[in-house]
Amino acid sequence: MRNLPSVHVRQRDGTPDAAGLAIMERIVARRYSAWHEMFTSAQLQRMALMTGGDLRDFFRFVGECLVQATSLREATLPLPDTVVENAENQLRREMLPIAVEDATWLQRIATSKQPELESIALLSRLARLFDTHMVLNYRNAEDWYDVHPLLHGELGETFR
Amino acid sequence: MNAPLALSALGEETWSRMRHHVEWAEGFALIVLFSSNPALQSVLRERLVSIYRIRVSHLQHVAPQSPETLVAEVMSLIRTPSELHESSAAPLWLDISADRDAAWEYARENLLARLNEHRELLRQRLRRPIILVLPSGYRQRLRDLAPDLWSIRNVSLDLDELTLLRRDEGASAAGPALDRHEPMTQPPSLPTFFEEAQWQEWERLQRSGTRSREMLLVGWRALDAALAARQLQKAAQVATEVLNLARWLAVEGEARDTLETVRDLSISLDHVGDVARALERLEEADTAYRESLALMREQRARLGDTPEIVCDLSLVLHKVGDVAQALGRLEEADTAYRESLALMREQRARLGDTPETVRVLSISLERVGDVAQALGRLEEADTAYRETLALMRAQRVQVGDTPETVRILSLALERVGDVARALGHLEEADTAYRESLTLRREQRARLGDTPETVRDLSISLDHVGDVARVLGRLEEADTAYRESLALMREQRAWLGDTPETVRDLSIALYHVGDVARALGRLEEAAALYREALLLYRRLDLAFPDTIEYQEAIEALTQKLADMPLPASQAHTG
Repeated sequence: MRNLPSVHVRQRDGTPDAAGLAIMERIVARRYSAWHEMFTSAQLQRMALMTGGDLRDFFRFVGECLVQATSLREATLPLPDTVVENAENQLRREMLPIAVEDATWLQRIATSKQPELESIALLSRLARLFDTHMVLNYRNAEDWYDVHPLLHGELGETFR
Repeated sequence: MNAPLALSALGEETWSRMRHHVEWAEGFALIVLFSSNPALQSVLRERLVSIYRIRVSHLQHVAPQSPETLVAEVMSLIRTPSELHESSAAPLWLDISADRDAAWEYARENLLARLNEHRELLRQRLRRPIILVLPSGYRQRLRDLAPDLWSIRNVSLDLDELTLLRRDEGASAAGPALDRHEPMTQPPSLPTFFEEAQWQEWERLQRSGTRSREMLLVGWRALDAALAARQLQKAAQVATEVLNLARWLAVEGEARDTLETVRDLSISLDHVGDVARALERLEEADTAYRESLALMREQRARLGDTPEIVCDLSLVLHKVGDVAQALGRLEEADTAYRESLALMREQRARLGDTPETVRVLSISLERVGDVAQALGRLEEADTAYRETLALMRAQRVQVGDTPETVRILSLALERVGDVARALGHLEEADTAYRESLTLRREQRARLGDTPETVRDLSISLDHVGDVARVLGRLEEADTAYRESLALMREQRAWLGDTPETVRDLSIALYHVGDVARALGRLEEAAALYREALLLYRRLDLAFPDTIEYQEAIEALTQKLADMPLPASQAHTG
């Protein structure tokens, strides 16, 4: 099983990692140096945090904001927060629905930050959770795992 | 009923997003659509076709039909990219959304697995956008089958037909007759594979002898497919068959005489009426709509003013009014529209400004205004149009610039302008027309060049030109008419010679010719008149019973004869 580690934008306890967020800003600046005309730092950080540092999801988020902005009656820059919220909801919708049995597993991963692989027979299911970015992998001193941040609220819903 | 299917406001929003993802793609981009509705797919696909045609490119539409060759066909497309498609950045519309037998399902899964394995090949070879169309509800399956492919998508969109598409009533609200620009009947097109598949499924169920509500839904889809392909005879046949089923379910079925079955019967009657109207069998349409109306009145008497019943009733009243109007029974149309208006006012008082209430109310007002105008009651028409205007301005503040809101607002402004012009208040008309023009320019900038946005803009320019001309501001009229003419030339080049494009162009030529003549540019005027005359002659040949074309030919011939030009130039051929 091979997967691309995400940029470390949060600590294991969920607090934002300033160094990781700075890396995300630098990555965006390499692509478009005047990004701060479009987004505030807070918005960019929110996008980085909500995509868990996954670069594809992050740039998909940025792109979706720009598409959403085209339907604004008056273009104001930086973009209003509602645009970021709408784009976030769109990305979340694309990750749904989650099967109940997956949700149960994801909940365990979210709590322990470990893969929670109970049996090798379940490896292919775990691989699917990685492949579909429902679980993200971080590496610093040691490997740890977390559920994609966009799904946290949904897992809360499932478990209520 | 020129365009029986149209996008709702939400549909327009979804279209706009899809379009931007396609247009902004630099090289490869993957846009995934989930939809099992061929009519909705067709609306979106046709819009892309139009956009890419005007860019001297095109949309490559691939809809494999055989499970045996599906994988080979698609993989070959990827392995051997077309230079022509690539150089023109032509998007690929790959439709594998059909729900068929197990062999097809297996082939589709196999294809997705292969695409997943060859993701990099796909990205490197196919340097243009691909729109992958899969069935509704297939998202999770796609994620599981092809996670690598899924991870490189630009966007995925669920196309829920119930909220993205609206039926003929909405289309009618969005596309009323506008002066010279009366909608013209479109010729039938060849049915696509999926349109045919919808009919076959309906025929299969008919043969099976089962009678259920699910079957009714299949019938409606088959009808949608026939209308999307503008196969009106086919549509008439399906509509009648569906009506027979709906009647049986409402009268004899297990759930007979329930709100649902009676409503289904009413909808089926409306469909029969719609198709009859499209076929210009107005008396037949009238009979169907009136039966539908009677059913909805009974439901209202039984169940009271529920929002759904009131809306349904109001929409059927519009249909009854539309047919009466087409039959020249204006007072009758007026009565129907006013009843609808009263219902919607009550609904608004009960529910407030919900988008649906505002939409139907605005249609009622527009219809009341149109009949008042036709009856010469201009002040009354003005009041109705201004109320629509106020309603849509408020709606715009509430929901923003949705394509539907902007279009209805621009139409209301146009109607206010028409009445002001008829009352001789030219400056007032000018102000209204110019505001409408601004909205349409914005709409075009937002939605791009679609046949509708370009045509609407041209109509607005004509109105501005008309008023400027009457006010003696000929240079101003000339500028507006010339812009309109340029648009109509583009439209014809883009859509080809259809009755509508030829007619619009000939009218635009006529206008510019008139102003050129008034400005003393006689040779130019003569050239424009001659070009218009040629087009009118072609139209007359194709539609020999249309008085409008005969009159235009007569007028143009006279104008050319009256012009002080050398005999060789005045010759009208």
